[in-house]
Amino acid sequence: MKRVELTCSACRRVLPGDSAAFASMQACPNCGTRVEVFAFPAVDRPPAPQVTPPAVAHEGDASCFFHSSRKAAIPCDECGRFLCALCDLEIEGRHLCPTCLQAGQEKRTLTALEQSRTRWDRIVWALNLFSLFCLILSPLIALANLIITCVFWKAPPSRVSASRAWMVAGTLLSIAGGVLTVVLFSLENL
Amino acid sequence: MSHRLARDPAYRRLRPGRRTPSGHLSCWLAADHLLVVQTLGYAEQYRRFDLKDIQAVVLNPSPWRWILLLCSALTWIPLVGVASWAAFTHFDNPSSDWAAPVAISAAILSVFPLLILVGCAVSGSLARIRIVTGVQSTTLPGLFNQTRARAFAAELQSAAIQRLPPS
Repeated sequence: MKRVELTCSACRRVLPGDSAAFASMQACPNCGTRVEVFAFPAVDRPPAPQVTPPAVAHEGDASCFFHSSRKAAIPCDECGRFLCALCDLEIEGRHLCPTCLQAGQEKRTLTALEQSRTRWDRIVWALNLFSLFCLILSPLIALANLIITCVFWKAPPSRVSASRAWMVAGTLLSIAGGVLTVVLFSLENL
Repeated sequence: MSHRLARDPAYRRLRPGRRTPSGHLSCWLAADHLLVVQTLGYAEQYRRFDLKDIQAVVLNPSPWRWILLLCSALTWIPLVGVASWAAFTHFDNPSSDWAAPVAISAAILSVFPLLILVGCAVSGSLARIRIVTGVQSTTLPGLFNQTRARAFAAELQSAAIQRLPPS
């Protein structure tokens, strides 16, 4: 692994030394700004040797699907294609080929590669807040919230908070608000 | 894997976390990686740092606590002065029609800088956390309590040493 040069965030100069020097460092030796460095084992690790998969030696040897001249090391856990050490990508304990990895990323079946999720519960509550300032639109907002809840019910919820409970609560509140608005306007017109 | 990290035995929540009106940030430690969850507006973003890739955690102390302390003190002291002066004027001359409203307004306004002052005094020193890996250097958004930031870095370091003993 390549070693990154640690820089001081104040003067942007490289902090000299190794992990032992970082452990005792209290301030940047260049500008004197206080800085604390917690060095991890990876900082002193020598660069990993470059992986070169062995070439196919005999005619009967299985070759990699993507590199026909390279000897296969393992099959893909998803599609079963033979892979060399270069093409073998280990994610969540499974060995995948680059194609299956890309497909999993696009279909969002590999949670370890997930980058973001939409918080539909927050959108529902933002619409509720908006309806407070524009009461006339509250029946429409209630309908929009109901549609959001139904359409995105199976969408992956937040990984931190109870997203679905908040979404249901927000939708119920907006429906109640919408019905109340309609009733009040009807009574006023009578 | 559980949908919620708090119920997932594979993840352990680390301090510090940060909550703001626009969203929040939380850090979760698994056996082999650190997961940083940042909620911003209507999206929840995930960043993963493999423990064997993290080379260092750098804490940069921030002067913002002292700046806020100074600003809030400089706002609070004159407001208290005005409130006291108006209150004494009112007691000396109860017929004055401006002293009581000025005293009450200044007293109410002085509560806000006082709250910031107390908050800054209680919160302790602040620091920025920077995570350095072989390919990137990421600064966690916001400022964190320095003691908690140190505990976070030490916990992460011990988890990385368990995963990847020093060579």
